[in-house]
Amino acid sequence: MHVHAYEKIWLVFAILLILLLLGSVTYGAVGPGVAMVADSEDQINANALDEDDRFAEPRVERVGENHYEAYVVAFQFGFQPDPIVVPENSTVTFQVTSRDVIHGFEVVGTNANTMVVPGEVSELTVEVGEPQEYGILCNEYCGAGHHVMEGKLHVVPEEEFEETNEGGESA
Amino acid sequence: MSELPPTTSVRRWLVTTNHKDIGILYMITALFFLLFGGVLALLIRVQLWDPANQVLSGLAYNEAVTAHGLIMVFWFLSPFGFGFANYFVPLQIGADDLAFPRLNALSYWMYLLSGVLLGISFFQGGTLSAGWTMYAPLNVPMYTPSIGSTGAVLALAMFVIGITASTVNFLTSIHHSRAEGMGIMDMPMFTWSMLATVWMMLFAFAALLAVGLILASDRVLGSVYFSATEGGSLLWGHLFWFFGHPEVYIVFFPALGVMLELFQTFSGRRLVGRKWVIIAICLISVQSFLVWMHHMFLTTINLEIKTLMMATTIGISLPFDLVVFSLIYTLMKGRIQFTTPFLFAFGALLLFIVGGITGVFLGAIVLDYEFRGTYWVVAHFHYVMFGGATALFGGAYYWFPKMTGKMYDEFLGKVHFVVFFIGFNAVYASMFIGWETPRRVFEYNPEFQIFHQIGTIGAFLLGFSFFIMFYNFLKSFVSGPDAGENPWDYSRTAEWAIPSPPPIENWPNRPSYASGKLEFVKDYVPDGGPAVKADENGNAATDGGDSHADHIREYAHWDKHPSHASIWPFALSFATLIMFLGLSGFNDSISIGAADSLATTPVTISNPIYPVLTVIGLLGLVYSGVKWGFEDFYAPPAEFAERWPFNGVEKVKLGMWFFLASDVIVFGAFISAAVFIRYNAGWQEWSPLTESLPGLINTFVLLTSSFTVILALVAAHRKSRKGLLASLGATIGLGLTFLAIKMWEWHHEIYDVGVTISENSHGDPVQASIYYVTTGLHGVHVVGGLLIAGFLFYRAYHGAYLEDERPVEYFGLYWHFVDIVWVFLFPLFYLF
Repeated sequence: MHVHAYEKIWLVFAILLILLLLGSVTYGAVGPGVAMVADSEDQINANALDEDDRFAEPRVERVGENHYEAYVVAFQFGFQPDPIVVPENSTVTFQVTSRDVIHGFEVVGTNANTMVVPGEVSELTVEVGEPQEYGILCNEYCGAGHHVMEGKLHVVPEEEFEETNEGGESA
Repeated sequence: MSELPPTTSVRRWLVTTNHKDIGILYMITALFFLLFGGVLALLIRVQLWDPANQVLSGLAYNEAVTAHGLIMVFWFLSPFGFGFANYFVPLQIGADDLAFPRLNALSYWMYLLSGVLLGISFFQGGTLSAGWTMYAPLNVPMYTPSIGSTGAVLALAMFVIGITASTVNFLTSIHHSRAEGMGIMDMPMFTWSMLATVWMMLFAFAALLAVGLILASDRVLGSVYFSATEGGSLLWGHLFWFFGHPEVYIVFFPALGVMLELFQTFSGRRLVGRKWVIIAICLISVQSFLVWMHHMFLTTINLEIKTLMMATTIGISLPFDLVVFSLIYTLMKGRIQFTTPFLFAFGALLLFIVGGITGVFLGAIVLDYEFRGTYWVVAHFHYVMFGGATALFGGAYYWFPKMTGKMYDEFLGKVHFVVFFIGFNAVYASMFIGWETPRRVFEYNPEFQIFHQIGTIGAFLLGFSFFIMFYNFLKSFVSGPDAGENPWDYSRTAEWAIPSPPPIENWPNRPSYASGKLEFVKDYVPDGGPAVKADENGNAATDGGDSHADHIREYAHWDKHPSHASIWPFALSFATLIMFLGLSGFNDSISIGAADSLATTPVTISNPIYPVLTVIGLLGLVYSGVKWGFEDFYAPPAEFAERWPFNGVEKVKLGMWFFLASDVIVFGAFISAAVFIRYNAGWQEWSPLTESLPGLINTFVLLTSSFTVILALVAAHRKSRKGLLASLGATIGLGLTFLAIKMWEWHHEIYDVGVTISENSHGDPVQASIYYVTTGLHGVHVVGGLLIAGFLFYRAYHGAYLEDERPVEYFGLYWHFVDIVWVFLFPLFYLF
């Protein structure tokens, strides 16, 4: 079968494109900077979040050297805690769940973006930098108040974090 | 059978079963829904004119977006393509009509009236507002309580029922009625595209039907599938997108078929690499079922599966590359005529390339995190779906002369294309530029305002361009010049070889490609016997061609005239509309109190309208179904036809197999749902709700009834009327026994144990829902089977089936299928 030269070039290009994109995921998964949304553990009962020791009181808590975990609950129509306060230049793992319908959780202007499915816990880890305020947005239709559903992520200096988050290190 | 009235009579359009009439009805109705969805789109664009505009309230905006999506995808794009398919697939394969003309009319009326039901839902306290993807659990009454939301869900279910009938019809027609000499690889490209489309639809729409039925049950009967925290939300995602991704190609392929056809006609060149294009189309159809999780990259599915889905997703662009290159080569090697249809087809290719390439970015998981939830996605899928549909407007101009006998105005057509193309790119290209706007909220960063304002202007321009088309078509229909048989220089498909518009029975004589080109041969019909195929000289050949001995019987009515009119498809669909309208408010109008037996249960009816509508609709359904069954409607099978790969399978049997294949997927989805939820709840956590003994007895009862159906067939074959009646009677008796035991079991569960469809005193409520809904669906199949068996019994009592036992055989196929399903359900619900 005769294959036209342009077509050969295109085939090679398309295969390279696929390899490149597959590579990007592999790199993203093992390399720094890009974290994939992952299934952190088994199902959670969305109707009984107040019995769960992470989501009964949504909060930010220190779990290691410069590593923090933020337990966030999305609901009609907002996020808890609001604002989410984290210290500058740290690693933050968000664990997000919903207590009613599907919501979105996107830190505006970054690639921290996930769906929040009731019964599931979405986990994503990000590196935060200098102090800054970010908006948090819901990307899925969730009811009449969807358009007003928003949250805040405050990246603050270390000292300020200690002040606002006293007792945050309790296990 | 009644005579078909003339086209000027309104009655004609209510009773017609002719594929060309129904094709025109489809197209006109689809264009109406284009306007309906278009007006909603303009409302959205007006809202986006200003970053903080509040023309619509939050809820009304969500309703407008939801209805816009549903209407454009389901009630415009697919049916518009199916309008052309109805008209031209039978012509292109050389058939007299579709295989089942009344079923075709039924599909159309189901489509139109389901759209009416959707329209009514706006006035039932507001239609659905959960987005066109209707993600769970926002789609259950707890979060979207309006009656209109239930109405919209039922409208979708009704639409899918019609579509399933249509799928079976097209598959049977294309595989059963191709003219002599037209092998499967010889079919015109539009017909090829439609064949791939209906194969995908057979499986994809069955999944949508299952998910729609489950949702309807959640909303009307009170089951708790999608509000279950044991994976109910993800279950919706998987089932919906298993349908949803093939749907993209289902919508695009008819347009692709038109594109392939038009590129050949207007470049005067056969498609380059035709065989490879066909192979690519088949590959895409298969692969389309392996990519659905790319719509769920942002959920918690594990990364390995997501990566696999990413590879299949990007891989699907390769066969598309091949198709696009073939189209481009065809142009390069041909001499292009820039007519209006060609401009639309060419425009569609350009738009589709933009849409396809921007989609590859979304297919990469890492980039998807950046793009998901933005206008990039909105722009991408409009370029793919609406961009693809552009070719369908080309098709409308291309076939307008054939359908009306008049030529459209070329100048106005070109003006339409220019305005359309500018408007299209103004709307959707501006979305690419302002892509960072979040797609599902109407308040956005003012820095993107300029792009959205350009978009809004473009949208009005786009909407206006269609009025140029309507004016053009109306004017040309009334006073256009005659088009003649074939206004195009290089059109080669069979529809151009007959007058415009074609006569009701299409062909002057039997079309045949046996000699390698289209010829109309006159068959020799001996007195009182079956037709005999003529050879090239017009003499009767004696070998009988494809016809073989057991087919002779179906030609016994050779002198009977084919029927073209029946009111029952319309009546059946109208009854369905009434019943579904009643069901939409059923739950809100009736409350059932607690009691210890069915007889003492207090039922309070707060609003009689909805329950009364339900009952009237149900009665109408049964009445028109029975009248349908007794109607003397004659649709002759194609006598000498190409049937690969189903040689020797009779028409109705083939249709029955296709229907059962789609029903397998419906039950498969129900069983998968049960397994998925149970897996998420912890497999060992659940034990059977019920005693296994009644289930065991029922298994024996059903298997025995399969045996009696076989006895009935044997009796009919031996022309024993008594034997036939006895075995059919036994089958009905066994079926009724099955239902009685089932009812006893349900009654026992509900009133003695306290397990209802939404409550479970022993564990997870969803387990009870799954038990009732899955066995209930099976029960409905048993009831349906018994109705048909009763009909057969009545006919057999009056002496039918002794000469021709095939209806008994086909009923047997269905009945065995229902039994086999039970063999799967029994262990799932009674043993483990």
